[in-house]
Amino acid sequence: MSRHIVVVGGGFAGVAAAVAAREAGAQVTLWRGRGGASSFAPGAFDDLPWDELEAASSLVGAELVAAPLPAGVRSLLEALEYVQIVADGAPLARLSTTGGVVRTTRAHDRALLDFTAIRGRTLLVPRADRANWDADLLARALSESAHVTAVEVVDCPVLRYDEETRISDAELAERHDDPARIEWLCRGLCREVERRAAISCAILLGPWLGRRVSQAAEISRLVGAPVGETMSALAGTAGLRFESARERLLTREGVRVLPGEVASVRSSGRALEIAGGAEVVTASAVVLAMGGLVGGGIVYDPPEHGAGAEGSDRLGPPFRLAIDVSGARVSATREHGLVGSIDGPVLDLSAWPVAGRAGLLERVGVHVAASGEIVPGIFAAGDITFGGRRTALRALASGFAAGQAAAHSVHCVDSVHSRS
Amino acid sequence: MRTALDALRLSAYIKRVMADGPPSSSHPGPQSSKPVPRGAAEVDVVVIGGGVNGIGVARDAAMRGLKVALFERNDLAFGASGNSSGMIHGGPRYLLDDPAVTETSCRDSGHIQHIAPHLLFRIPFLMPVLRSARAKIMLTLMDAFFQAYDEYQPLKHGKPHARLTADELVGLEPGLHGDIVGGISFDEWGIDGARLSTANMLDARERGASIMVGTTVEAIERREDTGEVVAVRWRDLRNGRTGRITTNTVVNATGAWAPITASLAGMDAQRARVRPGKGIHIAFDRRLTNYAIAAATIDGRQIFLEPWQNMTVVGTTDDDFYGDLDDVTATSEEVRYLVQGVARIFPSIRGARAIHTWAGVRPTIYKYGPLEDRLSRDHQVIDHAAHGAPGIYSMVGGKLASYRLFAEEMTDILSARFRMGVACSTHKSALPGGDRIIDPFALASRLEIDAVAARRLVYRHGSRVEQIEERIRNRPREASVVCPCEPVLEAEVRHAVKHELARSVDDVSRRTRLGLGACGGMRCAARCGQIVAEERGLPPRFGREMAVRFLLRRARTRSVALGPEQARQEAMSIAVARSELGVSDANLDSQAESEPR
Repeated sequence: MSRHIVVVGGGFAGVAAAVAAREAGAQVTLWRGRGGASSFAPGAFDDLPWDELEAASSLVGAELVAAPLPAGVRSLLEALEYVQIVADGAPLARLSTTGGVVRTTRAHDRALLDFTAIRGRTLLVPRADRANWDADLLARALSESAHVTAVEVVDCPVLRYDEETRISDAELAERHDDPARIEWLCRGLCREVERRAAISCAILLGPWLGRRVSQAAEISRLVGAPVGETMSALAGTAGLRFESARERLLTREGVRVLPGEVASVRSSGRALEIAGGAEVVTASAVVLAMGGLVGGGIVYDPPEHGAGAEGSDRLGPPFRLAIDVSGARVSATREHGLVGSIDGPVLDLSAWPVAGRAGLLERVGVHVAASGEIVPGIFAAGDITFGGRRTALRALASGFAAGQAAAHSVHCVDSVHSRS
Repeated sequence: MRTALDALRLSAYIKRVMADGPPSSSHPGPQSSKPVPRGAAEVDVVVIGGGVNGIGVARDAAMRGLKVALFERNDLAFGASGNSSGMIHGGPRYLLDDPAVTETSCRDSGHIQHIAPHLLFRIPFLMPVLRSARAKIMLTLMDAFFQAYDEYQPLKHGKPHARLTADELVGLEPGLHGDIVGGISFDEWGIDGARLSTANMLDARERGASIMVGTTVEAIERREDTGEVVAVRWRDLRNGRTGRITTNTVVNATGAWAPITASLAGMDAQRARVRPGKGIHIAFDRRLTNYAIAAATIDGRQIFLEPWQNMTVVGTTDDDFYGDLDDVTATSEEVRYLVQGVARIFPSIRGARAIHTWAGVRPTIYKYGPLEDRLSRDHQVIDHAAHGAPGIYSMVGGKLASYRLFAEEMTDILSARFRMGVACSTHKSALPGGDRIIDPFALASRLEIDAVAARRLVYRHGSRVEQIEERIRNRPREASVVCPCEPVLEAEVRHAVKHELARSVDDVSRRTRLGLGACGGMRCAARCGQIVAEERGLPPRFGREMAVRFLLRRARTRSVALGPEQARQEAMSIAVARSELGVSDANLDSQAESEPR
């Protein structure tokens, strides 16, 4: 009988773990949970935080090129289908935020306009009356970037109905899943491009281009010039595309997906029991990939909260796992020297990253042994683990490793009992 | 027993005040300094400090015909003026210890209401009494106490108090909890201290005063023989430009910085001594109640929860403070102390979402010994002629509610010094925007903007909103919303930079409350920074740096009040700021910003 692995969490790490475990021959059940950091992500896949990378490169004066990707991560990104990967050793891709910051990335959502690929072209930025879209300021900021040749603000229609000035990015994006809408949009964009027949252009839009993988490529083909998006804001269109790519991939791989949240993971005889909603699933190994503080896998629970109401004598780090996992403890805070009830004042100073030092809220997590386990049979991957940087590629890599390790682990809960 | 005696003493005092007016002995009149001619130097008066007192003096002096220059090291209302409880209350807190302060506060509140009606909003207070052995006596005493306070209410157009039963209290505010035996309601006025300062600044400028923000005074030059003031040396902190301006009179209105400023003139800092008292406030993301609620802390201090503009504010603490005045923030102990106190009577505060905190330092008149709460909130002008420095005056103490009166007293001294004999008229002539009432709904339909946005605009600018309307007429695109929480329109941001001396995202936020909503500026700081940079002719990257600095400062004020849910939001904010702006390369620690030119 093949082994059964349960993956808790459906973000980058969870999907990677599920796929790795399937490929290693295990049966996999994945608890998807609510949207976390991966669904909120802006569409960039970094291996290291881009701001630190750029600061370092400007210090040594070297051009940023793509570091080699681990094989497992590359195959996962390819399997997700919606990601454009920069070739090893090639200059990094450059994306724009809606605020006009041009930043590097190792891989990105295909719908996002890569400035490295369109170098030499004149960038057209259409005006649209939307709260987070100010084409004039965006163009002004972009014109300052060394990676933009020329920018022009254009008045071509991109919003079709009145209410589109107010609806969310994701909602506007969904309207672009309609082929008729795409056709309408392309007609307007075509006119702008044709008007500038003498120069080669590219068009930068907000994150509005729909869920379909090939959408941006199709629009570019119809318009005859590269068309792409800026990065998504929190919980925007790139997250929607990840979610639909995930559904496709997990279905293809034959992973059983359960919606909802896991409440507890307990050892029971030779196996682990995972309970959530009305379901109880038994597994031989579990991968916890439900995210860190952002994803909701770890919660802040200061002993002072409620102080004065019922008295508070609980000491210890002010963080815990969101679900009940036997034997697991969040102990990451030791790094910051936090003890008991003085946690508050220390958090004041260390919550946010300051001048090169990572912020406490970025680093919180569970300690993982060399085997990838936090306790025998229970593995952890992604933002839930302590230390490291919170990037998409790290989540994929650690998820992939944890999935493989879980599928191959000679886990035996009995041995835990006999040891204790 | 003490309370009963106090009540007796008090009513005797009130009768006397009502008959004769306030005792005048508490304010030293014009004295000692020799009269000097006007126009002998580049300016007649240099005012140091852009808080409400300093700007108030600049306005008053300019109105009376003096040539004034004002230097502010940080920004208008950067210190206590912009970090108060946002009330011009008569301060029933001071009624027992300091009834003269209550009287002057109430009287001047009435004047402020007359000159800036658009900036005021009524805050009805509920003061519940919990069951205890002495609750009945307490209630009776409170009733008598507020009976006394009622006598001051007409001065500020307030309503008289009412004695309420427990059921009536809970009927008015169902969130009240605990074994309440009854209580009192009374009436106060809310105000935006930063807007009040801005309005005064506009008027001062329009009457010829020159106002320099972001400009520190480095030295006050005096003659070696007579000790008289000759000139003031200044430095613009953002571009490093320096200069010297001649004058024979300096007003030190730097609040808690007063001793430091005094030492710039070569005097002993102790000559302008204050007892700096730090007070913090916590803001919650919405109006949790429509009544302010008075509560008590575990050590018996009186604190409150008030609905203020579109949020709820809890305050305040009062502790001696001897740290860096340019960088005062609340600590989590202070936050817990206040939340615990409020939760005893309004428990749902624990589930509410704190969105930021602020801290200011009161420049209380120095006295050694008493507990902070027992210190006088009176104000006083120190004439440094007595210390061998004729022509230098320090303003210490005071309250937002009586800023105008304090400025009047200071300017009376100046007027005598220059032998002018012009009477003060700051209480008669309206502040900019306060001359007429504007209908926000008509404005909303004229400009096709959201009624809420129009209402907020009218609140902040009064009739001066017409200048912003004009902008939008000429450039309809500027009607777009930059900060959706408040909300703030693009035209208002540009107006703040062009006409209200805003030079950074922080400054715009002080003028307009941009970025002070639930999202902490995550949705608007970047765009606001771009707009400020464009208006000031700076490259966009300066706008970005301003935005990052603003976001980090906001984050620091938030992190002391993080609850379980907010920590997740905070982690999310960090992730977004990293991905969109990058936080590692900006020089996050430095306060001073280096800019071209």
